[in-house]
Amino acid sequence: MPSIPHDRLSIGTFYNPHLAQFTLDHPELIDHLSMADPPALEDEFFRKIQQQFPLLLHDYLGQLSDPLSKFALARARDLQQRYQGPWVAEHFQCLHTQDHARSLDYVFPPLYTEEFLKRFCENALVLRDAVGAPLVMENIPGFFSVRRAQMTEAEFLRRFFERTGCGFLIDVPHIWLAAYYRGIDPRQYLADFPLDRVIEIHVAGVEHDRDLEGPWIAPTPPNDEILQLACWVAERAPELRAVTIDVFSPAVSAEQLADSMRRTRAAFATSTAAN
Amino acid sequence: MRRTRTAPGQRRRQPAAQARGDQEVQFALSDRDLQDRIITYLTDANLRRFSAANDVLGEDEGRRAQRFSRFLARRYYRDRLQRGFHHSSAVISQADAASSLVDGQEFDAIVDNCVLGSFATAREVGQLAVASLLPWRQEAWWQELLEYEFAFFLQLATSEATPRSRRPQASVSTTVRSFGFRFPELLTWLRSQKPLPNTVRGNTTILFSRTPHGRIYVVELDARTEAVFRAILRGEDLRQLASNEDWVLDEMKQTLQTLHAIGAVTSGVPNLKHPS
Repeated sequence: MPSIPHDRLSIGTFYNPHLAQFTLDHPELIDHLSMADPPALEDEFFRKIQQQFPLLLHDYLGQLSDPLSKFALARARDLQQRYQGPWVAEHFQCLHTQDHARSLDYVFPPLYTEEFLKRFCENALVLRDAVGAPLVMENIPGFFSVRRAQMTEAEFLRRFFERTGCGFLIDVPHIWLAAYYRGIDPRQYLADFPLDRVIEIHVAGVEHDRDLEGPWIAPTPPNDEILQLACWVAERAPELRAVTIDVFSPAVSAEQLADSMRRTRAAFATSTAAN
Repeated sequence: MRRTRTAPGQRRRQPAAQARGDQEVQFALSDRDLQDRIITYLTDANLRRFSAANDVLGEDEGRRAQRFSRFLARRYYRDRLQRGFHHSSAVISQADAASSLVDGQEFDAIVDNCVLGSFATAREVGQLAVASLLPWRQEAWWQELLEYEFAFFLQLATSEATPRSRRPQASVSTTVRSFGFRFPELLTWLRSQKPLPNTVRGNTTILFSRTPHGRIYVVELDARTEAVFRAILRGEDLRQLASNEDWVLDEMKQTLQTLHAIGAVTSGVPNLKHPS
């Protein structure tokens, strides 16, 4: 089974089953694949995909604000045994109620409080032990703020990584959006984030959303501003090993994916050459 | 400090008491409980209509939360319509596909009143999809395909839990439909683009269900399983059915266990021995 290289940055994307043939035909563009969903039973391409690309587990394993069920832990363990990735990913999110009666069905950050920090630390360690692999955690942007917060997002993440030893999967568009909706420069917003913990970077496109009346994540190629910010983060992330274009949608075309890969590769090639 | 706990999203009726009461609730709730309250607020348009949640959100943040709720609803139902109605969408123009409904005015009205993941909203959105798709083709199989997809969509778009009960009860989204075309043969034929074969016609009864973990089942029912399920739907005492000569107790138990395992009914095997 292929593995993420240690001697250079791996640049990949998410596995989009409808683009499986394109993916297999373009190893020069795609180094690795993140798996948001398990492959479908009828996916005739997946065996070849797994032979050709390193896979990263990036499924919804459960929200770490609450203890994971035995079912969820067993599922996470099975998926990691199947993919054999160098790390598994989860998110700083709390999207459903404790009784599971209500769910946002979309990433949503927790309150940045001592109580939630304790919950995330405890449950992350349980998940890491269950899957038997390093855990990286992805930042999630808030669209509005809640009065109860006791610390900034940066402090919450920094203290989490210090206590657990987990890695940081920094989603650059998420950072850009969080800064945008606070009206500050993203580099200024990043000032207190623990970039020395970054293992993986996500890049993606942003587009205007009619309901939000502003930009949000979209299945489009990352723009220059996002890529420049990602390279700025990479320069400050000595442990960085992978950059992943965060796009998985049946609406994505092969042309869009190829464009995203080329633009991202070009941006990081320039950034690496400059250093 | 009052230590009473308020259920997530619970609304007080008296405005004069609200500001003081909400302040108390803010301190009485744990952070995790407060997060539940925010999630409930974001998923329930009825709550948002009557409360700006100013106790936890500032005035401007409340407006942002409203916008975020609309974004969540449109995104959720676009995704479910895409997945639920993808067979029919493949044989009409993409501009007419079910998922494009979420950008229309009729859907705006739903967004302003919906409870995300509720069966009632799933049914309303699904009915809107069927009504908008029905005129696009005239073949006999078209309406059946839309009914099949509607039942499947109900499972995809309902995360609402069924209230617990002491005896087996049909889960809120479980649907049983009889068709004059055979599935999945009809779906296979749709992909083949060949002339419609006679083997696609035939009566079949299908059950659509969803487990609490979100796994969806589409299963053809045999007559005996259908009899058990319909008895549960009617709220009949299963001991009566089990005492029927035609039934062996173990078969009844096995049937109930299967219906429970696929999420069609809420609880497993009750005591089936008839009181003598």
